[in-house]
Amino acid sequence: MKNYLAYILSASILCASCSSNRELTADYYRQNEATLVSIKDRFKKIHRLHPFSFEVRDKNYAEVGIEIITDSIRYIYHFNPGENNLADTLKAYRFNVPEMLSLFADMKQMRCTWITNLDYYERGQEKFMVFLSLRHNKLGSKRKEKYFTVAFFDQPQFFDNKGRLLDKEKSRTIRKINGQIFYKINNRACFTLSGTFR
Amino acid sequence: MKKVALHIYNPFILLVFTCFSVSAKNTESVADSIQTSTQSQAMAWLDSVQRTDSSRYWINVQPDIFFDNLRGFATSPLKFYEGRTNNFCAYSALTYLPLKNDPLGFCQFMLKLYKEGKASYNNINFRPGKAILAEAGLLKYKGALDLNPAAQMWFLCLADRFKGYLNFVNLNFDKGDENTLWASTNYSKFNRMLRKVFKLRIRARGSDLMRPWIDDLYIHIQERLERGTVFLYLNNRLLYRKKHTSSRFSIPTHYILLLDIQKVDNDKINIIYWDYGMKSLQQISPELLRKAVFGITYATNVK
Repeated sequence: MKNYLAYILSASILCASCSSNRELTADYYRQNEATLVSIKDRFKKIHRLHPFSFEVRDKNYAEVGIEIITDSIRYIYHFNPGENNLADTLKAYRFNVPEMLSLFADMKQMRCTWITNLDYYERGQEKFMVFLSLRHNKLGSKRKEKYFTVAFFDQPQFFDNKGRLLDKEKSRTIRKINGQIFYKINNRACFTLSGTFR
Repeated sequence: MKKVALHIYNPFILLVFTCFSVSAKNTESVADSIQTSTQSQAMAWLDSVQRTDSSRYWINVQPDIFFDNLRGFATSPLKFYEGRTNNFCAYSALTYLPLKNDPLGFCQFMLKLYKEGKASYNNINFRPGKAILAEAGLLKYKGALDLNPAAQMWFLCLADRFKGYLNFVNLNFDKGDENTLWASTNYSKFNRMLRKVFKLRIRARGSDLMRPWIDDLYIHIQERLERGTVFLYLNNRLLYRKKHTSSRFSIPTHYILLLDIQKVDNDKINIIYWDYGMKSLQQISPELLRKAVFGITYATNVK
């Protein structure tokens, strides 16, 4: 009997902590929506002309990485943000350097660790979402899930009554992105908490 | 039960079984030929072959999509994609060899497999079980692999046919096992697959736990690139960082096909490789190269 009580107690604590995490992150999104949406919009605008992804490779923002995607090859470079190499490389690949540096500065301010355009497939059609991860300060350093990840879709998505992202309309299948279940923020954005940022 | 706690990153499993990890330095088998057919031959054959009805074996693989996939194999081998969040990278890396050297033979093998539910490639028999036959075409949320049931068939058949010590804890396929130890590939299994399926001379240095002791890794790799096709067995977390915490245990988890390696002005090294359906050039330090590489396998181009 004691064992049962212990199990019930542990399960309740676990459920409460999951639920409060979701509240925390949904609130966090609402508080920072303007900046996050601005980062997403600027990323999409630049990405249309010059496909790229951007990553932060360490906790202190001392090393960043950029993936520049061309038709034939993907170039992956790592930089110290203080060095001129980053701007030189962006220039060499014909990016608008001030626009990119301003985007990176905002990403740093939001502790954004990864942004990319991720493909997914619906009824045999290729579609894309913007996939953005950031280190969530309030999640603390001891927690396993350190990254708050938002997926921005172009079309409205479907969710079940628990707010989980579904495969398609009238489907009960939960759509996973990078192996994770995502939860509704609004019709076109959803989030998850993850141990990895990409 | 089998999926709990037995994870590929578990260092204890690797420690227990590391003695079985064979460094395949001296293993060789005879290759009759390297380039046995061309892309144009494969395309001509695909144009001539009569489209079949749905396979009675691969019930979730539609014939139209299957043939489109075969065309993709023949015309764009470098777009062959292993998918996300699964353990198919080893199978994808080695598939470069038939796509480049024998696209016609590979397409013929795939069609026979589709029509008859079993086939042999270079005298290696593939006879997948019911669970595999039913699953191909249903893998989802893996990126472009969702639209490539032919690649799903091939990956599942390879994972089903070849077993290494990492697979012993999960020998039979259940739904979702493409992400588990069932599909994983230790280094000696990778080299065994290359030798047996493609009948090539394979030389390998490295293992699952220890990095190879090589004085000048750059020169070593460069020399092998001049003589044949090189695969690297890597700690993927160094190549594609996914989190900011560092682990005490550094273990390899990813296979890539290396296309070129170059020293550049700023003491860095450019590695040009193929994985995830595209060519990549990554600029890394010699130290990162040393830390990341756990295995170097090369298939000689000598007949």
